[in-house]
Amino acid sequence: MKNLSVYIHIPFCKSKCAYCDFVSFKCNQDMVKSYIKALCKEIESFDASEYIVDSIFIGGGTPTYLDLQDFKNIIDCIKSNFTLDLCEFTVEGNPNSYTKEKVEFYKSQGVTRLSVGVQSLNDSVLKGIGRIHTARQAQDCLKILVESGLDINCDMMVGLPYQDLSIVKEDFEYIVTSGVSSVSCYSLILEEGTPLFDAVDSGKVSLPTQDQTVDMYDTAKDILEKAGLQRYEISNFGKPCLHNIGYWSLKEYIGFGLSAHSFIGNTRFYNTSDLKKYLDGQDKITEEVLSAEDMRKEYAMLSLRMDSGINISDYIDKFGVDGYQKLLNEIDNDKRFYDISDKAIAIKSEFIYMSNSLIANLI
Amino acid sequence: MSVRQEHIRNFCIVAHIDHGKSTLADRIMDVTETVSKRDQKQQLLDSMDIERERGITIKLTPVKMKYNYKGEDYYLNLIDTPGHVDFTYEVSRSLAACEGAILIVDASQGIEAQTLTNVYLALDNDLEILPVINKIDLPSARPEEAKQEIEDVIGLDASEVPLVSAKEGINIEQVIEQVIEKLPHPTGDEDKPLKALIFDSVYDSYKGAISLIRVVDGRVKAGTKIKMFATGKTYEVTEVGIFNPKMIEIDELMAGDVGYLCASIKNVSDTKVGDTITLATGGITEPLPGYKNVMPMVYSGIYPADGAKYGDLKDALEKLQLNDASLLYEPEVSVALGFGFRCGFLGLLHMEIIQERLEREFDLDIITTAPSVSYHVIKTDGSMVEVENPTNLPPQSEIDFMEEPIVRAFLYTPPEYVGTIMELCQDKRGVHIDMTYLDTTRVRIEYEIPLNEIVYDFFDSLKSRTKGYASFDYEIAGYRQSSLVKLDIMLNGEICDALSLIVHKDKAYARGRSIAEKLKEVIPRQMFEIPIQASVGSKVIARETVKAMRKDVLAKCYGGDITRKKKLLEKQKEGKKRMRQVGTVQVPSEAFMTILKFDK
Repeated sequence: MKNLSVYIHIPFCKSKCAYCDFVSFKCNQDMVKSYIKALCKEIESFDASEYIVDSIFIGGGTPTYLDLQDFKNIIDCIKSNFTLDLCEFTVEGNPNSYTKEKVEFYKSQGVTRLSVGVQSLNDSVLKGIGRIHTARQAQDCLKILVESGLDINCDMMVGLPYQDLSIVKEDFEYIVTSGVSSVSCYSLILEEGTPLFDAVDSGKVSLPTQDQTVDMYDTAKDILEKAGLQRYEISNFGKPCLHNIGYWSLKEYIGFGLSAHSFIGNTRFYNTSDLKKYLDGQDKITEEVLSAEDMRKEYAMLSLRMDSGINISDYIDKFGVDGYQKLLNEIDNDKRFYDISDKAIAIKSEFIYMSNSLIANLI
Repeated sequence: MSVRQEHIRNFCIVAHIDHGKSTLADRIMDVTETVSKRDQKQQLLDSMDIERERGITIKLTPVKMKYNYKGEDYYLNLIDTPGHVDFTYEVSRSLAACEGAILIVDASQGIEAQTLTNVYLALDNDLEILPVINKIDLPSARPEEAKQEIEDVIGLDASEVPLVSAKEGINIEQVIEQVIEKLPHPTGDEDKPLKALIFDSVYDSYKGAISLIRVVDGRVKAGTKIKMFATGKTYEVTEVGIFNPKMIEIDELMAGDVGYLCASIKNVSDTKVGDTITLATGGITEPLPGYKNVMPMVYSGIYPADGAKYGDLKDALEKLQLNDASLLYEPEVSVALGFGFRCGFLGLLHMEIIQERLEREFDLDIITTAPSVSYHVIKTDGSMVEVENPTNLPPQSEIDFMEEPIVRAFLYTPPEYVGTIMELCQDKRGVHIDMTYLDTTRVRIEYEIPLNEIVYDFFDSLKSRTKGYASFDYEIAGYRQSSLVKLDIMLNGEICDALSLIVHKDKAYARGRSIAEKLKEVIPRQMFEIPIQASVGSKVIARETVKAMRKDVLAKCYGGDITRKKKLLEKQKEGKKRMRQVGTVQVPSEAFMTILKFDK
């Protein structure tokens, strides 16, 4: 039996944020029902006989948008189709869609970790990126979540319009005292096709510069680490998320739902992002079959996102001494940016925020 | 002399760009019921978009036309000439194949720079000039003033000048009749040994290099054994013919005729423009005057943007050279750019044409280094070396002095721009020679200016400072001693050879500063700080810094979409590949071109 992570995509939101280019949209309850039906059908059709599921992540979209019965139907479906031995079960949601009742319900269903997209605790900043909650609602929500006793993760962003260092400082000082167990801190990536991209493109909205954004990130990092939430990945601090670590260590995972991605054996699949096709039951689409060499390169690409870097003995177990020698050659020109010990190869802390430039040399 | 020759007219049309040369040629062909030259253009030179886009007439093959005048048939050979200063020598050889020239003057613009250059070239070749005033249909036409300019500036009788509109087909017959009446016919001797002028050559993949010739004396046909004076090589003629405008094989070309000749010549460089053809045995001993081995005036390095495309670039240059003997290239290696070619061009336009053809016709991504000229370096041991690539400049200690090429520049402008043009010329180290008011609306200014200033940004500056009103032409005036220095650019402490320039010492500081500033804008931030320094010898004269990059991360991977992330990284890697590594610094291709850009 092999360990498997399960990802469930819930593509519904009450309102779409101005920067978001993920597969999510507003929709009516009828459509939600048909979606859940298709989703359960997809789950049931997966041959799970050789797997034990050790982590579940229900993401979106806004999974907390679902009513309790819909949510329960999904969980029941997973439970009946998979052997579970869960170490972690995460649900994602928005500040104003979590209620005390929902939180208790999730807990009763075996959820161990709740993630909330706070992004900022400044109302002008929130408005600027089209969030539909206020700072006050986010703070109230955090209280409810923390009271549940579950692991709470809080998603935050830097590099946003109208944001400055003092705002970031206030935000994170509040967050570290709120009792969350982990924080994700992303910098805004402007994606083409989003309203925010157009607004910036036409000059209506301006973004902080690269330097200002990095200063915000550094400030956030300082505050988080001083409060004991150590960075373990470029954007993640505090108690590690096992599900995400699975992605970064080439663990097998199956994704169900619209546009969800899977990695089984050595093959990457994904589902259509066309809702109609999905509801009609379109099969998974093969994206790529990884060769041993691809695996070796991806492993480095993913592990180097983490502060712990590449574990040398794991690496040699997977790819042999020859593979390890190749890796050493590949990083040879960039050695000064790496910490190399006999146990691990990691990007030096001060360069981890520029990891793409280094990783691009390895693929 | 034969009656046959009395019925031949060999002529060309000369004009300033845009004054209507091609259109008039088209109309003359319409009137003589010859196939339209436009079809010929499509057929023969479909690929030469650049010239067409710039309104510069493409070199066309000559065309033989028939016209009945006063009951007798006349054969009119129209020989086209390229319309740009870079090709002055080629123009002069085409003119040498004619007895007369139609000079077009635009009824609203009057005489322009190339009008006069062409007139002088025609006069140098003893051509009879037949002025015509074109574009009389335009509301802005002022034919009387144009006539006055023809009389005052050129000194030709303008009383019978045909007033035409080539576009509307007005008065075209009058032009043809004046060609017959006023231009002399050829007067060669058909019985003397062969003497023919090569005025152009084209490459045909089946027939090899084809010589376009004007037979001065004698006759030539298939089987004739011929000799080229310039190369001394001998060939047996396989075919002769005329253009109507397609190639039509005929039995024989005789004195006075214009046509083509094939002789299994492999390479266009073996049929040199301006060379004389005679018989292999019993030929003449003195060639026709005026032959020059054309030397490139402007040089630049051309490199494939992707180093792996070196072979493709080489093939492309080889193919271009088949049709263009004036393009020279030889392999060169740059530390920054890898393997490429140092190419020599007749001038800046020629350079641009070649670069654009490489990109468009051969789909190559190329990096071009700043254009340079050929410097004479006189070393302390008395020897002289020619340096076309700044990197090859000998160490300062071995240099006694240097000389640079100087051009004589002729600028034509409305009087209100005289001040700004003189300022520009002074700024370009120009020496004022002469200034003439052609009439109340136009002034001719003459300057001597170093060619290396012209190749930098002279054209663009002139255009922008005179809102496009001034026209400009130049000829090479020789070499002159000059205080020149090598300006090096260092990136993170290492000299980038492809960015080195030879400049006048008084210009070094300003150029160094401007290049450093421009590089700062185009070199992306990298993982470390990059000092950009401009230096002359060991002295740093300008410095800028590209700050270290601080952020280069991807967004969260939602739902495990690793492939997308990998694709983004691969894109980044591709981007890196297109960059050039100078020491530790990644330099984007456009950085090498930035230094060519014109200073505001």
